[in-house]
Amino acid sequence: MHGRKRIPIGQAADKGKDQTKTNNLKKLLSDFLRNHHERCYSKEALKQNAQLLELNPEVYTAWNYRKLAVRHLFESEIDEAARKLILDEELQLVERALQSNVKSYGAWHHRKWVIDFGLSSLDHEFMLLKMLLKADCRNFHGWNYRRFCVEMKGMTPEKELEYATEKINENFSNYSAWHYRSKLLSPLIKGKENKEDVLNEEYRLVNQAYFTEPDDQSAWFYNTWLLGETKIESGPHVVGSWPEDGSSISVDAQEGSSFVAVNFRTPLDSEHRFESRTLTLVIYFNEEFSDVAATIRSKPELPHLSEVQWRSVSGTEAPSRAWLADIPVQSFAETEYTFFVEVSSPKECQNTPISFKLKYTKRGTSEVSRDQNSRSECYSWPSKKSSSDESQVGMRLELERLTVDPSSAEPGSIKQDPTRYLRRDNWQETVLEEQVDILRELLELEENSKWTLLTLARVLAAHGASRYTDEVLKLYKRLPDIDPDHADYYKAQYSILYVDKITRSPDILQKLWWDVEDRLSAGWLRWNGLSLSDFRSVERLLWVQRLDLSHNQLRTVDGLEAMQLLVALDVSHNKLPNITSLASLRLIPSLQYLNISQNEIGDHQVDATRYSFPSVLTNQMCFSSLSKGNVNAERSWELQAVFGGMNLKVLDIAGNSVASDEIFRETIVRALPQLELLDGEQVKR
Amino acid sequence: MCSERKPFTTPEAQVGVCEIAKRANLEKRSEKRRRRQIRANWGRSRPRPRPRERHSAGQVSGADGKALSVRTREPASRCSLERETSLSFELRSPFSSSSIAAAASGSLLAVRLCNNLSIRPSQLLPCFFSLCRLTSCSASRRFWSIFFWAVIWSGHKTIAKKTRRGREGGGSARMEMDGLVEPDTFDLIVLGTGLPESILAAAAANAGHSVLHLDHLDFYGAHWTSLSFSQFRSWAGSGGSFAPPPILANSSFADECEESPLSTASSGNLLGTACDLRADDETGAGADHPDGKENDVSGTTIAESDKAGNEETESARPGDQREIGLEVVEVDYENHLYSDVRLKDIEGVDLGASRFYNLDLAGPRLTFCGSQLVNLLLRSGASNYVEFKGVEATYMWTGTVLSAVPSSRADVFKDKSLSLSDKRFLMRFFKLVTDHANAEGAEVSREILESPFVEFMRLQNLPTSMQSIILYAIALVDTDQDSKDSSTLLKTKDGFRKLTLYLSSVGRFSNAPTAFLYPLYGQGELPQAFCRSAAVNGSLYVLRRPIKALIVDKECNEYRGVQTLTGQHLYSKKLIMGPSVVPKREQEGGLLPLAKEENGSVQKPGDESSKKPALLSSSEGPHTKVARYVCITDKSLFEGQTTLLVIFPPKLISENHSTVVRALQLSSAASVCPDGKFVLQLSTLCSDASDGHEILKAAIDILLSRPGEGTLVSSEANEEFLPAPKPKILWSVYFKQALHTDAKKLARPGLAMFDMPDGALDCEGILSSTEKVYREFFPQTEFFKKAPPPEEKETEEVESEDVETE
Repeated sequence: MHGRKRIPIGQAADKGKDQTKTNNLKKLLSDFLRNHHERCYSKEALKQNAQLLELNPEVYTAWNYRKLAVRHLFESEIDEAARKLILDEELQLVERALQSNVKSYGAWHHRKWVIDFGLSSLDHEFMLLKMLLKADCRNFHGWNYRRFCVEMKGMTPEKELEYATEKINENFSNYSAWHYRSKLLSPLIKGKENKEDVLNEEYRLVNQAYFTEPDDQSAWFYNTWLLGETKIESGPHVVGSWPEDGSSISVDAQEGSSFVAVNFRTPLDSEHRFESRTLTLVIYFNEEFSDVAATIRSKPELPHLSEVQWRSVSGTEAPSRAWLADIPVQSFAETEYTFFVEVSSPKECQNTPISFKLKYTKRGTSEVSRDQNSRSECYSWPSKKSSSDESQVGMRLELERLTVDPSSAEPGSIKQDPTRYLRRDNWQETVLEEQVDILRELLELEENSKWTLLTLARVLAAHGASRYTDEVLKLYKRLPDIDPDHADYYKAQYSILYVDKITRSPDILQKLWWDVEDRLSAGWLRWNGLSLSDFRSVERLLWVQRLDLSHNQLRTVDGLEAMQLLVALDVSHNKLPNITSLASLRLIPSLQYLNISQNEIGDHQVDATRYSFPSVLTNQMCFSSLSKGNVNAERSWELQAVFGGMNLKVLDIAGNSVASDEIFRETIVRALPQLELLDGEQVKR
Repeated sequence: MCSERKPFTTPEAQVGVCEIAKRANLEKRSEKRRRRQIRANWGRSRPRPRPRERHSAGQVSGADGKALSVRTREPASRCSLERETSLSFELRSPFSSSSIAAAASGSLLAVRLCNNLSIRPSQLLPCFFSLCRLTSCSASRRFWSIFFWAVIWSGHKTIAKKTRRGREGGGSARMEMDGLVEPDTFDLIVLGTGLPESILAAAAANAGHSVLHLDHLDFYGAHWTSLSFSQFRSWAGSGGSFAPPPILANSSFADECEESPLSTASSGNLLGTACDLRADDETGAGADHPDGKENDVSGTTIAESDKAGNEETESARPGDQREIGLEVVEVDYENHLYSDVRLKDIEGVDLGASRFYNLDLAGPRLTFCGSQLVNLLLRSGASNYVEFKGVEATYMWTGTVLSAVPSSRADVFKDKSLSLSDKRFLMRFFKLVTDHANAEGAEVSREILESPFVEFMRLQNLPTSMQSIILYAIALVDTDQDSKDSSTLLKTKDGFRKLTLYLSSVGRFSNAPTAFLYPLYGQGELPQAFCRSAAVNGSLYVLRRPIKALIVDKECNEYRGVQTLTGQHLYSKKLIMGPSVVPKREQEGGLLPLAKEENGSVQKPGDESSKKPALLSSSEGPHTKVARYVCITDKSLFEGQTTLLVIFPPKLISENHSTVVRALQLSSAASVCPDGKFVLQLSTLCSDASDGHEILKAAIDILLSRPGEGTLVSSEANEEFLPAPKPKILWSVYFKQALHTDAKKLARPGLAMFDMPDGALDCEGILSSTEKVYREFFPQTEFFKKAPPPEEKETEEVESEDVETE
């Protein structure tokens, strides 16, 4: 039934025959509608209705009419046998209707409705199902209906499991049967002691399948499900925060409202001036939550801390990994505080309180003396310098050879052992290692089997041991060559793991660090030229203020919003397809310098990502501000929606196909009131 | 049952209807053609009424089928005809028994009426066709088809009765030589109705050539036939000659032969012996005349053969001119092709009715689902006359256990005995082979293709166990592949071809679980089906018509015609001979001394390699015989499975035996024995008198328990793989069949001969050699190009494609 070419129907055009058929159908339809309208449930009317449904089971109204009629007849009969007769007739009708279209939702639904009366023999249904699933073993209507009947009959999942095994033995490419199996097993093994044995047995079965045919994906999908059940998981916990646990920061509060904080041996960027009077804390979880609460205590005590609310970084209800809290600064009286942040919800969170020290100094306005305007004029992007910088290239090569040693934590940086929260059971490790061996064996025989490579990478990743990281990276690096169709996926997986690996090691991270010329500002963290296509693992980079992601393959900057301290971002020479892909940057209030030059903005006529990945923008279109002037609203709503509300001072867009569009530039200038330099030119207003 | 045409629910009578429709088509043909056609039908339906059973054959194992059988038995005195005739219908509801009874009784009545009014039953045909056309509903069509068959059948019965009465009364066998063949010139004459001969006849008829098919025996299939129990028993009892031997053992016939001055005159000569054809002609005419006079057989043949006789005498004069420069080479029928026959009856065992048995002479033999043979059956329309049962499983003896041979992807997946990597090796190897067949993937060099397959498999890292599965259970080689003698090794290209065939066979038919098919009612159905197909295409069939000489051109020694034992001269451009026709043996001395074996069978070394089919050089070297063993057992080797193939690779039964032993278990599901009994056939290649028997005996000891022998003999280490007590042997026959005959000595331009059934399990070798001969003889026409009549072709091809795509 599957993988067959569709044969166009109605080619044998016997026009006269077709015409009579159409007329017949039309007549039946109008008769039925009249009957429906008049609530006529006579035998004759039902017979006509049945004829209609046999010809075309897709008339949903006709099924509904039947339901009304059956209920009507049903209630007028008291005798159980007579009632059963009515229902039997319905079942027969459905059978006939299914013969004209076996995938008719209406017919299947009607059958369920009839069976739900509980008067009909379920054995007959099972016989029918057996026939159907033999003829078309992946008919999901059939499988759904089977699930329904099993529930009606109260059959044990064990018995059904046998059926699934039988179907798999018949043909192990039957994805439906594997899926049914996973559905049956899920409740059976949940929290049960024999989970281990059951899963071992399942692994044995699925191994047979892919050793027989490594290119058949149904078994691999099942394997993925099994992996999910075996995975060494860690409970919810905090993986990153700003300020970091054990760190100390100093805040220089200026006369007025701004302040400067110092961290990571570098001062917080002098540009980093919060207009608000708050210090924003960030905590970053390993999973997404839609509701988070954490208590903040301080020593010496501060007032109003208990009132501080946590909000997700997106500001919406959607689940998020990064959560923010604002501590009001003006209430600080002492020069030094120690803060303790403890997560209270979600409850399973296992962290000890995050503590950090905060030095607080008050200064006069005069002490921060640099002229901001002149700063932005001479602002230079690292990506512009790097192209000829050979030492940079050397550094990168070296970087790839470096390995991560999680033990070499530095003060003020990552202290947590990433494996600390893993809920590790012996059996899981044994099973996973067994699977690793088996997959490696298969890989020896089939060195270019993409499913084997991918699954091996997944199993290794599920194992969670850091000793496998390099192998996983190697696997993901190989996969795009073998399976170019899904190269994007493999590259993204590679990028995520790569970033994760680098950020775990402060030593390597140190090498990415580039000081700016005047040592007063924070340096750049440079991830340029690493072919990254995804930059999501930012949990240990929350302190970064200047980020260089140029010369990568990014299509989106989603995830960066957690880096709330970000001041300057260079994403030039990437593959950003449109302005919408920058949407998450709106959530970083401190961002002032942005380089999106040499991307693909404007190259893509139809922006499909907007539909496939609805962003925060979807519901926030602000046409009102666009109505002014002669700007084409259709073309510029995107600009307005993304840039409106951002505090950019410097923006580079050269090298994109939209950059030469005057209207585009005009709209940008309008959307960014604080913009001073656009492509290095002074903005004239 | 694996019927390609029919889904399980199609009314079985459809076959009958198809046949009738086919005949209806023939109606339109010329009058002469029609007469010949009727005679052909006569020929085909006389010896074996069974095909009619086939309409319902599918239900033998069908659980829901309502069974009813109507049998017409011949009087006991007619046993000389030997073949038991039974006409049975097994029918499903909604076809009520009363309607059959009505049909049967109606037909009998009709026949009686015909006899009284001296109308030939076949004259009822047109009337019947119109009835068929009028009635469209399937039930009534079924009624009419049965009615029709019953009429025809009863008609033949009366004819046969009269014939026999005449013979008994006259005390002479001359009645069997009923009439002359008319016309006397054909494109092709075929002698013998073995499988290759029948295929060739069908192919030639299919291409529009005029064909005359003669057999000296009174049944179809020759050495390929399937016999009922009593027939088989008497065949074995007579030391392996067909009973009653129609020529040599028939004294009256022999008398007649001696009467012929020609035979005595020529008896001193062997190959190339010539006598003056004029003299020969005289005797021929002399022999003809009494025949012509005594042709009082009623029905179709009388009038025609009368006429034929007259015509023959008339045409003898132009024949004179034709015969200038011709000479005759006398031939004989070899009747000692079987030797060392050991029949073992066990007293007090009820084997059930003899007629339920169909025991193959050339077993075990199977057909690949994807083989050319199946395609030919479909293309020629012969598939209408035969249905199949799929072999359920193949087992291989590993030295300690019988392990199931994985035959499909699902089997490989399920098989617990294969290690994970073995599965991969096996599947990967299969893929390599299919890719090669589809000209995909990496190319395999010519050098490798010519190298031994074993070596190639070793190169591919296939585990030894897998190698032997592929060699012996899939590529079906006959001899040890580890041997040093490279000439017996299977070449990689042939291995590839076999594997491809095997892989394309598995799953071709949804109701055939493995790659193999077995025809219902025995292998003997296959030649018969092709004969029918040939008959439908207008070829003429005459059984019990031996020839006594070949007519050849004096100068160029080219074949021109044959001389029948009745003396008639029949001419054709080409001649095909079965293996029985051999040069007239010299009594004392001669040009070529023949090595006589104990039982008189003739062995001729050094001649076999050239004759062997190209595909498998299986029986080269010393293997000049096939040892076969047929036995009846009381239960299945594996419970729940009826049709099984068991392979014993070489050296595993005994160290010094280098041929494969194959065993095929059949049951009532294949309609070869009554319910509750099983038939086990074994065979292996062998040479001298002893080794074949010993090796088969050892194989049987593994599978079965012998009656009357102590358990010590049979109970070995292999008890555990057959947990229940082993099946018991209830009856058995062992025999050896020669692979080659002296037929080759008759070789000359214009004629070709086929060999005895080979030692292979499949028919691939037979088929390729048949096709080769056909291409040689009829290079202008294609081998089975013409499809069956259109209305059948449509349903058949569409359905078969359906099956294939699934």
